[in-house]
Order: sequence, then structure tokens, then C-alpha cells
Amino acid sequence: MRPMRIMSKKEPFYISIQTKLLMVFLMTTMIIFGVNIYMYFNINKTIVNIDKVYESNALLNELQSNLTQVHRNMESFLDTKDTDAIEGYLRGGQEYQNKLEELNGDILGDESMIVEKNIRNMSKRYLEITDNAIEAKRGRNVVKYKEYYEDASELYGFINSYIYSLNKQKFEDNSNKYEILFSSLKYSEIVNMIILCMASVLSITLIILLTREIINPLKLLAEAADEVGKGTLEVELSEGGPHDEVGIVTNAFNQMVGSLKNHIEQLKESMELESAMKEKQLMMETHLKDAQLKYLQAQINPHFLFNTLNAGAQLAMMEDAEKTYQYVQSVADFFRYNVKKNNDVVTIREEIELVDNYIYIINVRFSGEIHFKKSIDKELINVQVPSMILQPLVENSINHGLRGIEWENIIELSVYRESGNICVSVRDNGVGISAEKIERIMHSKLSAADLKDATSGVGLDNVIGRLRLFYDREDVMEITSAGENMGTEIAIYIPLEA
Amino acid sequence: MRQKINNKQLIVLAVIVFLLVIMMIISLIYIRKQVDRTNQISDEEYKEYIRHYAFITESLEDNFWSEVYDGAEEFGEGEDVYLERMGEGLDINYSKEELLKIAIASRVDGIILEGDASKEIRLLIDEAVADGIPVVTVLTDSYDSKRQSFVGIGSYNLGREYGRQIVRIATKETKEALILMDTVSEDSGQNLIFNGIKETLANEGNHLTLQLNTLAVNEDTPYSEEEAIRNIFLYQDELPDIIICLSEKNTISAYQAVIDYNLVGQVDILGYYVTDTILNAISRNVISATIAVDTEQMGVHSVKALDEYIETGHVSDFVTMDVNTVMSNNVEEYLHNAANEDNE
Repeated sequence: MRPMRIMSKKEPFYISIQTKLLMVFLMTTMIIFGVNIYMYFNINKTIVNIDKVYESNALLNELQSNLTQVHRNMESFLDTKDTDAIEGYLRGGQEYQNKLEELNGDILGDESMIVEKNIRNMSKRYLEITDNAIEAKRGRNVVKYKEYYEDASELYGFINSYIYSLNKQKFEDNSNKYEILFSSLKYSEIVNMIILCMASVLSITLIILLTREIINPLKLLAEAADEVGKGTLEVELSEGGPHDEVGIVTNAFNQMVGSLKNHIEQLKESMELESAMKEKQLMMETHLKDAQLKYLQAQINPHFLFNTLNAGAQLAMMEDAEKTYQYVQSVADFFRYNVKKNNDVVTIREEIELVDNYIYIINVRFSGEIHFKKSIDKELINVQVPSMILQPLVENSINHGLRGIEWENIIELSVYRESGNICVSVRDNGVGISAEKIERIMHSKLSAADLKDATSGVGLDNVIGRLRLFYDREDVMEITSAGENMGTEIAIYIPLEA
Repeated sequence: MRQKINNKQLIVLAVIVFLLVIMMIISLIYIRKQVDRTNQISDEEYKEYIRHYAFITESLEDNFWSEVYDGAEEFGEGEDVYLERMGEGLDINYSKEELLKIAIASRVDGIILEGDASKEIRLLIDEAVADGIPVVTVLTDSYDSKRQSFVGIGSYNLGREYGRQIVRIATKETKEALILMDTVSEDSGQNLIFNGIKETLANEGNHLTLQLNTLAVNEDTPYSEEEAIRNIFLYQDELPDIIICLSEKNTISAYQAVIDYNLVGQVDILGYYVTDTILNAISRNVISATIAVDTEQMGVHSVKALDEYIETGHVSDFVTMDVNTVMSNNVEEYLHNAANEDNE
């Protein structure tokens, strides 16, 4: 993941948002600028043309005023021989001559051109005549200059008329031209306005399009971030987005989401591992308990005892001591059971037989002072249970409940069905047990001193532990006592299905 | 979704750009065209001609002269001759003399002139010739001037033609034939026409008892001719039986007067020149006959005469034109031709 990010930064197509925005605005500005320049030149050109339209009229007007100036000066000179007039005449004549050069002198196929040529030729003739008139005046040839003057005046009239007509015609032409140009200017204005509008629309569209191109990934990113914020990690933004900062952020976001997912995955895994380990630990504990049990069972060196007791029984048989044989045989059976059923599953019947043996032994030992009563549901006696669970209870009753009491010792064993469970109850009429002690027993918090009291080696807490492990439930035993000297009842609950 | 919107926008964008480009192109073309058109007016390449002739007639409106001018101009175009109709396009109505002066002062290369017998014209013709400008008179001549050539109908022949027409239409009851003449122009051509008519009548119409009279109608002031012609019908005790008109204008004036005063059938008109009006009048028998001159040919000959003189230094003194008479029996042909020309 990491090298990819570096890659994207180094990509040849990488364009920053700033550059993009700059490009957008540059582009639109260029369009508008170009359109404006184009419009400016167009209109300018038209205006220049419009300016030129009446140029020819201006020239003709000047020509006419020059001609008038020449004629007036000539008249004035002929009248008064005024030197100012002759100067004015010469200057005006020269100017007029120069202006004439601008007129057409060739025979061209256009009425105006021919008129120009005529004006030019007539004017030349006119100037010749006026020159002659001036000359004649200077020479005081009255008849001649009068004649010249008349000719000149007539020609002056013709020329003026021609210039006037030409001017008028040109004015008409120019007006047409002007109209065309003006309408084209108007048209240009409209077209330019339209073009400008179009350019603006284009620019706006471009800006929207391009900024959207920039902003859309951001939007998507924001949406995705929102999704992630809400806890949805299954968000993936498409790779290869824009080649800009947003692209980098998008990639980073993808990586972030990815690593977030990875982290959670790892966390899950480690949690699973932990729970597995806990289980293992529990198992180990169980094994330990099991080992402990085995150890405790092993403490009662069964083989030795068994062999010894067997020998004793045979001896008693040989001596015809029936009761002794019976007793030793019971003890042997008792211990054989312990050896044989050491760690196996047995039926309730077998457990009850063991208790019978145990009671017999104890009654022999204590000269039959314990009254053992049984109330057993025969249907249940074949149910399988862990071995060595009943005897410890009875032993516990004898050791703790009945020891040292003055009244008759009674132990009641009941096996009955109670709401889906088989209840095996051992009840004595002994000293009873305090609630505090019950609590400690139930939670395996017996002190070492308490444990040492266990004569047969298998204590209550061991029974509880084994039952709990075997049935995988907590609620396996109940100890109840009505009060001091009111006896104790220990009940084991075995699930019926098991 | 995003992609879709983008595509749509791209299409919109493309359309806008396309429209923009189209608009730009259209406006560019339009404006260029406008500018070019105006530029063309000023910078147009005009045809350059070798010679510049002036065409001078008394009237600018007369159809006859317009046709002569058109024929001459058309021919001149082929010969690289620019024929200017003097006085046209000017705001002042200059007289023939003034136009002649202008032509001389403008130093044209040749002048085609509706000649007359006045002294001023003769002097001006002489002045032009002295300035090296050849002059050709058309239709009517200026006698004794130094004009290079005359292109026209022989007036005597014309007179004889009129005479023949009078003989054709006159009866024993015909008492008077009136010739409308131009007083001012001391045109000897008119006299020749008169003589032609007179001689023809003497030779071929000696069975007739009609009297040949002339009436001067002035051409120098506007509308004076028309009034003079109307006066014939209003104030003369005895109406003439035949009116002989020597110009197009007079023909139409007389024709109109005959219609206005309800004298169709009582007064016969012998016209001059062919126009639609005159042809229609002939077909309706208001005008008995008219003299048709090939105007185009006349124009061509006048230009030719000038060209010939300028190129060779000499030209024949008199170029005669053919004369045709249009009567009710051949008027259809002329009307047909006129219609064809219109169609063309």
C-alpha cells in the first residue's frame, strides 16, 4: 500500500487542484478575452470604414471651396488689381491644381469617374482662361480680359454644377455605403452580444464541469468518510481517481479503511486466541483436579489393602469366623470398588451398593449405631453417574453430622425424580451445618484443616468439582440444614438426560 | 451517475461550442461580405476605355435619342469607346450649346451632336474642331459648320416619303395638310423635307387639291410645342385634314389632342419615329403612318464615323440612313418586335 501512495504522487499526470483551477479560469478568461478582441477588431474595422465613407464628399467640398476662392480672387483682382487677391489667386490656384490631381484623369467605365475627368479637364481649361484673364488685366487689355472673364465665369458655373452633381451622386452612394456599414455595425453588435453570451455560457459550463470534476471526488470522499464514521467499513473508493490532492487523499482513505479493517481483524483474532487460551487453561485446571483426584484416590493404597483384606478374609474363613469373614469381605469389596471403579462411570445402583458396604463397615466399627434408611426409585438406579459421589456424602454425614450426638443416628438415602433431574439425597439427623460453612463448601474455600478431616480421602469439594466438570453446570449440589441439631441434607442433582 | 451527468454536459458543451463556432463563422462571413462590398464600390476595377465621346442632344427624355444613344453606346463598348450622354445626371438642364461648351472644355475625344442650323452651334462646332475634337452631327445637320460627318436621313427623301403617304391617304375632299415645323432652329433640313413633300405632291398627287401649310411650334420653352399643337384644334376655324409631325414629341402631342377633342377619323396624322404609343395609335388607325428610322444603326454609324475620322483622318461627309414607313398593314410586325424586345 505504501509504495502505491508514493507512486501516485510521482505520477506524470499529477496535476494539483491549484493548477486545475488556474487552468479553468485561464481557459474561460482566454475565451472571453479572445471574443472581446475579435469583437473589438471587427467593430473597429467597421468604424474605420464608416469614417472613410464621406471622405470623397469632403474632398469635393474642399475642391469646390477652392474653386470659389480662385474665382473670387480673380474677380477681385480684375476689379481692383489687389495684390492680396493675386496672392490668394495664385495660392488657391496651386491648391486647386493639387487637389485636381486626386481626381480621375482616365477614361474609366463609371459615370462618376467620367465626371471627375470632365471636372479635371474643365478646371484645367478654367485655370488657363483665368491665367489669361489675369495676364490680360495686367496688360490692360480690357476687351480681352472681359472676354476671358466671361468664359471663365461660364466655365466656373459648369464646373460648380458638375462638382455639385458629382457630390450629390457620391453622397447618395456614400449614404448607401454608410447604411450598409451601419447595418453591418448593428449586426456585428448583435452578433457580438450573442457571441459574448455564448462565451459566457461556455465559460460557466466549463467552470461547472471542471470544478465538479474536482469537487465530485471530494464529495464521494466525504460520503465515504461519513459511512466509515457510522461504522460501515465496507467502503471502497475507486482507485485511479483524479490525479491530484484529492486522489492522494482518496488513496490514503482507502489505505486507512483497509488498515482499519486489518486492525479489527487482528483484534478479533487475538480475542479468539485469548478465549481459546482460557479454555485451555480451564482444561488444564480440570486435568489438575483430575490428577489431584487420582492422587487422592491413589493415597488409599488399594492393592495392598485389598490383598491384605483378602488374606484376612481367608483366615477368618479357615477359622470359621463367619462374621469376621463377612466384615473383612465387605471391607475388601469396598476397597475393590475404589480400585476398580477408580475413574470410571458407574450406575447409581453400584454407588448405592458401595454405600451399603460402607455403612456395614461403619456399623461394625461403631457397633451398629447408625440406622441407614433407603428410599429409592428403582427406575433410576441404572442411570450412570461419576464414581465415588455417594460414599463421600455418607461419610461426610457420619463424620461431621452424626459424630458425638446423643440420640439415635439416622441416615436416609433417597433417589427420586425431581423436575427433570435425578435427586440423590443423603440426610442425617445430626448436628446440622452453618450457612457460612455451606457457602464455603459450595465455593471450594475450605481451609486445609477442614480438608484434613476427610478420612476416606475424597471430600465434598472434590465431589462438587467433579460433578460440575462432568455435567458442565454449576448447580449440582445443594446442602441444606434446618438449624443446629436439626440434621443436614445433601442433595445431588443429576440431569436426567445425561 | 456522475459519469452520466458528465456525458450530458459534454454534449451540451459540444453543442454550445458548435453553435458558437457557427455564429462566429456566419458573423465573420457576413461582416467580411459587407466590408468587401463597400470596399468594392470604392476600389472597383473599372474598365478602361481608349476614347471618350460626348453625345449631345437637345432633349434628354426623347425616346428616339435614347435609342440612338443606346445603340451608339453598345457599339462603342465593343470599340473601347466611352460614350457620355452630356447633361445626364446634372442638376441643371443645360442647353445644347452649353453642353457643347462643356464637352469642349472637358476635352472629350469626339462629339456626336444633334445638329441644327443655329449660328451658336455652328460656331461651337467650329471651335471644337479647331480644338482638335471631331464632331459628327446626327439626324439633323449643321450646314456650313466644320463638322466631320453627318449621319441622318436625307431630309429630301424624308419629304418625299411623307409626300407619298399624303398621296396615299388623301382624297379629293382633303383640303389641307399641315406640317408642324420648328421655328427656332433654322434647320434647312426642314425646308428640304417641305420641298420633298411639295415635289412629290406635284409629281404624284396632281389629282389632289389640297393645300400644304406649315405651322411653327416652338421647341425652346418647355411645353410650348404641346400648347401650340392644342391651339390648332382649339382656335383654327378649319381643321387640317392631315397633320405631318416631324418629331416624336409632336406626333404624340397631336395624337393625344385628336383623341381628347374626339376628332379620330377627321384628322389624319403622319407621325415621326416609332414608339409603343405611336404603334398602338397606328393599329387603332388614329395615326395613319409613321417614319421609322433604325435608331440603333444611327448610333452605330455616328460612333463609326468618329472612329474612322480619328483613325484615318477623314470620313465621308454624309452617312445616309434607311427610312421605313410604318402603316396599319405592317404595324403588327413592329409591335411584335417591340414585344420581343421587351421580353428580352
